[in-house]
Amino acid sequence: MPDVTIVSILDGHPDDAIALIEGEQQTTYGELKALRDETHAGLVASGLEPGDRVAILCGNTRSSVVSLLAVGRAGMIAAVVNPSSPVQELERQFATVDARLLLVGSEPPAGLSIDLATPAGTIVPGVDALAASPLIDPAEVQVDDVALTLFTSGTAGPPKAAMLTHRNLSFVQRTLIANADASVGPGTVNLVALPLSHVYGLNVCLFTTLRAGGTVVLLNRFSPVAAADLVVKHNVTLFPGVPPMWRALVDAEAVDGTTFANIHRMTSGASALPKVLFNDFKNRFGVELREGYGLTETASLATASIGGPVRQGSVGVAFPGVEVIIVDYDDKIAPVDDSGAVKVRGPNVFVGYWDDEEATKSVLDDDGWLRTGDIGVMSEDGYLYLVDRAKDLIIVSGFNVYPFEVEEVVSQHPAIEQCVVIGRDDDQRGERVVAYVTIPEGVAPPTLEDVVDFARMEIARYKCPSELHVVDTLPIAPSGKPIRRDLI
Amino acid sequence: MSFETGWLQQPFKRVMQPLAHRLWDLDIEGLENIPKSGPALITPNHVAFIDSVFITTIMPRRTLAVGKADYMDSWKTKYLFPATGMIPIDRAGGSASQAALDAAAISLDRGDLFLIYPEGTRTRDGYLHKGRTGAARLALRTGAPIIPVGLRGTDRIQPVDAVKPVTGVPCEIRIGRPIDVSRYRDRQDDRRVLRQITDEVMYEVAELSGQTYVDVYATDPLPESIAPTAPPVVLGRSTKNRQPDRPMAASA
Repeated sequence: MPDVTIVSILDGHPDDAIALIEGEQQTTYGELKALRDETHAGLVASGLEPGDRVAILCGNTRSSVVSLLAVGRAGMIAAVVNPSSPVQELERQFATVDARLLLVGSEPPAGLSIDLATPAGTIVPGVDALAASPLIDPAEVQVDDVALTLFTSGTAGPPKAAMLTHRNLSFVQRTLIANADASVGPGTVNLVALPLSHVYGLNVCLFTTLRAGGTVVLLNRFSPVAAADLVVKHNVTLFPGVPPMWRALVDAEAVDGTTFANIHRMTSGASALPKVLFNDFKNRFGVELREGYGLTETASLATASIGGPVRQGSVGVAFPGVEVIIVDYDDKIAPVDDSGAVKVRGPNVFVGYWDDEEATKSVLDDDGWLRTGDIGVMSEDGYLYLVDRAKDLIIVSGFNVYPFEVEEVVSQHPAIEQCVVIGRDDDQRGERVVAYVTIPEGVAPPTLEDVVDFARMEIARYKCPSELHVVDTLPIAPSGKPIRRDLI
Repeated sequence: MSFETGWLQQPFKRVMQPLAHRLWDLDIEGLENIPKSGPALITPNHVAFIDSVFITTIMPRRTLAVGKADYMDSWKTKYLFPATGMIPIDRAGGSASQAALDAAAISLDRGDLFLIYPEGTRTRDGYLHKGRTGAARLALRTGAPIIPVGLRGTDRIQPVDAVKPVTGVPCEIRIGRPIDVSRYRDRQDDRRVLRQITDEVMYEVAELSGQTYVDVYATDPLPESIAPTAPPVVLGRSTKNRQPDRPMAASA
C-alpha cells in the first residue's frame, strides 16, 4: 500500500458507505466528499493559497472532519488546536504558526468571540459558511509536504507546533490497515471519543478509519454511559481510549459488564495504564486493554501491542517499520533490561517544529533519531516498558525515583483519590519525594506516616514520600497525564 | 576422588573465625538477619578480594559463590577455592553470566546461602556502583530473599592491587534485613521489576556500607554528567541503626 496524501484519503470507498456518525446524523462517503470539495472551494475563494496555515478549532464534530479534509485537499496546512484550550493559549498558538484563517466549527466556543483580535485574519463560524462553488480540482500535494501542525501537549515546556507530513500520517495509517491484528478495514466501526485535536484521535482513529473505508462514530463529550450506549447501538469494533476513560467505565454501575463483548480491540494510550486499572477492567468487562506508545512527533504510534500477546505493563513492540532503541547517558545502546532514554526513527517521525530550529535540533538528530524524552526498558524480545518522563526523574541519594511508580502505589491508599509526585531539593539527599494528593469526600486525610507505611508494602523506602500535601485539585490532563511542572 | 563444593568451608571457618577477629577487630552487626534455614542471597558491596573471605567466615551456614575459572589453572587455588565454596565459571564461554546464574539457582534450590556481588566486580574508585540484575533474577526465580550487606574497612585491609592484607585495621560488617521479592512475583514479565529490586538492594547496601552511590556500572568510566555529590565514602556517617524502627514490609 503506497503512501498517500490527505487529498486522496477518501478515494475508492463506495459513496453510500457510512463514513461518519455524529449523534443522529449519518454522513456517507459521498456526502463527505461533497462537503470537503465545497469547503475547499470556499477556502480558495477566501484568498488563501497552498501552504497557508488554517487553524481548526478541532472538536469531535463533522465540521472539524470536513475542515481537515478540505484544508488538506487545498494543499494548505491545518493548524489543529484544542477547542478547550484557554483563549490566551489559543492566541499564542495562532501566532506561532501565523494562521491566516480560523475555522471554529458550528459556533465559536465561549470566550472566543468573532471580534477577538486574534492573529488569524478571519474567523469562520462553521464550514457551511465557507462552502462555495464552483468546485475546483485538488491542489498538487506531495507526500513529503507538511499536512498539519499539532501543538505538543504542553507537558514538556512551552507549546510547540509539530509539523507532520502527509507521509508521516499515511505511514501509520497504511501500517495499521495492513496489519490483520489491528483489525482496521471497511467493516470497522471506530468509536472516537478521543479528541481529534490530539494526534492519537486524529491519525489512529479518524484518518486511519476513513482511509480503510470504515465508519467513525464521533463522541464530542465522553461519558461512560454515552460511550457504552454508542458501542451497543452501532456495533462498535474498535474503541481507543485513555486511562481516565477506562476508570470511569469500570466505576459506572450503569454500564453492563457485557458491553464490550463483541469489540475487536480496545487500545489505551496517551498516559501510562496503571496495572490495577488493567486488572479492574479485565475483571469487569473481560477485555485486556492493549497499550501503545507514541508522541505527536511520531504521528501517534511508535510502539503498539499488535501481532503478539498482551504483556501487562508493556506498551508493546516497535511499530512495524519503526526503530525504537534505549540508550544510556552516553548515547550508547543500553543493555537489555536497563532503563535509558527512548529514541525512535522511522517514516512516522516528524520533520520538526514550526519556525523553531533550536527546539527541533534538541530532539531530532542528523541521523533521523527522535529523542522522545521518555525513559524506558526493553526486553530482549523487543517489548518496551515505559518508566517515566526523563525530566520528571527524581534523584534521591544518587538513586533514581520515577514519579509514576510512586503515584501508582500511593493512589491505591484507601484514603487517597489521586496523587501527583514531584521532587524537591534536599540538602542531605539531593532531592526528596513530595506527594500531592486528593482525598475522597468525607474521608479523613491520611498522615505522612500512614502513606509511607502503605507505600513500603510495594516500593523501596527511598521512593516513599518525605512530604505529603492534601489538596483540593491536582493538575492532571484529561488524558490522565499529570502536569507535574504546575506543582514545582 | 571428588568432593562437594564447599566441603572444606566449615573447617576453614573454625580456623578463620578466631583468627579474623584477632587480626582485624571485626565488628559484626545483624547476623540474626540470616535465616537459620532455607536459601538466601547475600549481596555485599565489594572493595577488596578479602571481602569474600570475611563473608564466608562470618556466615553461620555454608555460603557458596561463583568465581572465575582462571582460578582452576593455578595449583594454589585449584583445589582450595572450590573446597571453600567457589563454583568455577568459564567467563570466556558464550553465556558466562547465564552459567553463573544457573549454578547459583541450583545452590539456592538446595537451600544454601549464596554470595553475589551486585556490582559485578570490585569498585576501583570507592563509590558504590549501579547493581547488575543477577541477584534480582535469582530471587524471582528461586523465591530466596536478598540480604544486603555493607562492608567497611576492607579497602584499608587490602588496598587495590595489594596481595597481602594489612592486619590491625578494624572492619565493620553490617547485615541488613532480608528483602522479600514475593510482591514482585506476579510481575515477573515486567522488565522494570529487575531494576526496581536491584536499586532497592543497592540503596540498602549504601546505607549499610556508608558509600556514596553512583548510577553507573563499576566497569564503566564515571561520566561528568553523573557527578556524585559526595566523596566515595561518607566519613562519620554511622551505618548503625540506619534502618527504620518499623518492620520493613519487604521483610520475610
